[in-house]
Amino acid sequence: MTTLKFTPYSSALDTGFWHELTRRKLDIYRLDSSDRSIYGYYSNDANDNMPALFNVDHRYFDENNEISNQQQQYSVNGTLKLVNTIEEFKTFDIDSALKSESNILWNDFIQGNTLENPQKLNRFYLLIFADLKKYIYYYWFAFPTFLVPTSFYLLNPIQSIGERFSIDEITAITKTLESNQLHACCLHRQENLSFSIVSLKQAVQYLNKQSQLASEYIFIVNDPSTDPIYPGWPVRNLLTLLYYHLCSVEQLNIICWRERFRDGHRYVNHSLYLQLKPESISNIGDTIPSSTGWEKNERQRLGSRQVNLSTSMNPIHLAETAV
Amino acid sequence: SIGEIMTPVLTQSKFRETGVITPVEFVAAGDFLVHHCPTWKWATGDESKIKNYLPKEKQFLITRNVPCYKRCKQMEHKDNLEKIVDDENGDGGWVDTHHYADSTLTEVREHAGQIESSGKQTQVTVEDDDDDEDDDDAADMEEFERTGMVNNDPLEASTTTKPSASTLKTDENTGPNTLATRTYDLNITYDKYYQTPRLWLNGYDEHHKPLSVEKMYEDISQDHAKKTVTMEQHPHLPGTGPMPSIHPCRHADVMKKLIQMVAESGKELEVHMYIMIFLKFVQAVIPTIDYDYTRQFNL
Repeated sequence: MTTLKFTPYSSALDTGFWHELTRRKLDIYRLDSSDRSIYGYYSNDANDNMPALFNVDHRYFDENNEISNQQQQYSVNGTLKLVNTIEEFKTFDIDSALKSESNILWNDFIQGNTLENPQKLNRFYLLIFADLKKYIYYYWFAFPTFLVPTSFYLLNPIQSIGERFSIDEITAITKTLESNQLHACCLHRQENLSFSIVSLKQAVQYLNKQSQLASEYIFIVNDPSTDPIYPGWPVRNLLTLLYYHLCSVEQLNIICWRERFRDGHRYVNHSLYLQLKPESISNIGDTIPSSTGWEKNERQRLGSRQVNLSTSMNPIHLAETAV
Repeated sequence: SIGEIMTPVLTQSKFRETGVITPVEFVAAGDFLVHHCPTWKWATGDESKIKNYLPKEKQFLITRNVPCYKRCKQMEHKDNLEKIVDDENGDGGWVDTHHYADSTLTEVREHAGQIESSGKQTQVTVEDDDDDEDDDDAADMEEFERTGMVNNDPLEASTTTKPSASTLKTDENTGPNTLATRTYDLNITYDKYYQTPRLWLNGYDEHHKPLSVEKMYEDISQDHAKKTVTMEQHPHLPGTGPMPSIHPCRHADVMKKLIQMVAESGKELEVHMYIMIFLKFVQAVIPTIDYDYTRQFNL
């Protein structure tokens, strides 16, 4: 049996983010480097060959708490750490930062908060040093995920839903999910090609009571990956969550929901269908499993990234190039 | 600008006669676009820059992470695809460089696929070519890497295919076989002075870092680069510095001609189609930026 692998997030900060960060650093935060809450989002409608982008933009700082999920955009909570010196940035204790972020994630998993609010499936940590004299920004993202379970065994090779389901079934699924704004949910197959939405919490309860009905349930998770065999991080975290909560289910059906809009039409057939054989990890009890998730740099090594905005932010440069 | 402040908000619809639209018509056309092409979304922008002639939550339109697989500079020039939309005055006529090629973008995407498969091969040569710059970059990056930390995640898919193709240098000395999936955030604002939509571009390189203006010019049709595209402050975003936008001074004229062309073919053009048509004609300026709009109508 083969195990499933996953495509990591690829971070994407918009230009406006750096301008807003600069303003806040100068006007509000100043030398205060305490943890701040921040938001980001991923989308499930990227074009082919695009990485699994994770966006943070100027709208997503702390007090804008009422982020409404826009269609195809799924918000994620995180922690912003803005340190004051380059030395602090270089020697930052990335292990304990990742650990504390993963602890929040894990506690929400095991206490059932994530089953009730699937937005808690993901978190992120963003470490930044802003050199405001040179307009160079150093940054490093972590997207925590767990090293338990150690494998996700596939019962069948991965298929796209276009290969797996009939046109009528796909139409019915699409219609059922049309107004769904949840990061993840579950579909219960009814008679006559219809489906009803069940929350993650209800689905786990039903399956633990009647595990023989597992084939009637399909979990849906919005997937940022565009890869034909590797789903993204939200899928991985959902599976960990379900493996923790499901007791003795033989079969787990997942659709990694992907959408695409072109010429006024919606396409969903490239969504992935996974059938897994879960093994319960509830026995690990109170111990928090080890985690991973610091993003690699452009050379595919563990390291931070930097962006130089002197040409668009330095007033002297702007004055020189102004017409 | 003074001109904009002094211009009263247009209230009477006259798009059929002159090609301009009112803010109300802009919102109607934007709603239609968002409904049919949900990759486009309404945005509020900076609260302090809200224009009172537009609804607060519908100040401008935005689409993010739009792929740009190929540099426009590298596109072959094909005379047989060109159609001069506006040829009245010799210079500055609006040339739709891909008028007869509905499948241009498909071609580009197919091409991108081919490049990807040959990416590995070319990488070797490219890396050998410009080692100076690479060494500097590598040294810079190494300073911020954690030694001794190895990838201990057996379930992370190796991303060899995509980064190997996209880490190729995009600079002068690379051949045409370079895949660099840049992305663009596109904005459509309502220009009060010219009374038309206005398109803004914000580009990112293959590592999602902001592109310099010079780099963004590579993705603008060379016929238009210096003439039609100007650098200005975005009317709704927090102080982001000058951003390229397609100057709207000729938009109304072109729109008027397109509306007449539709009328001549016996169809009536409704104002809610305005932004769709606008997006079709600005495609001539940015032919390799693969944004979505409906191509259900023909001109």
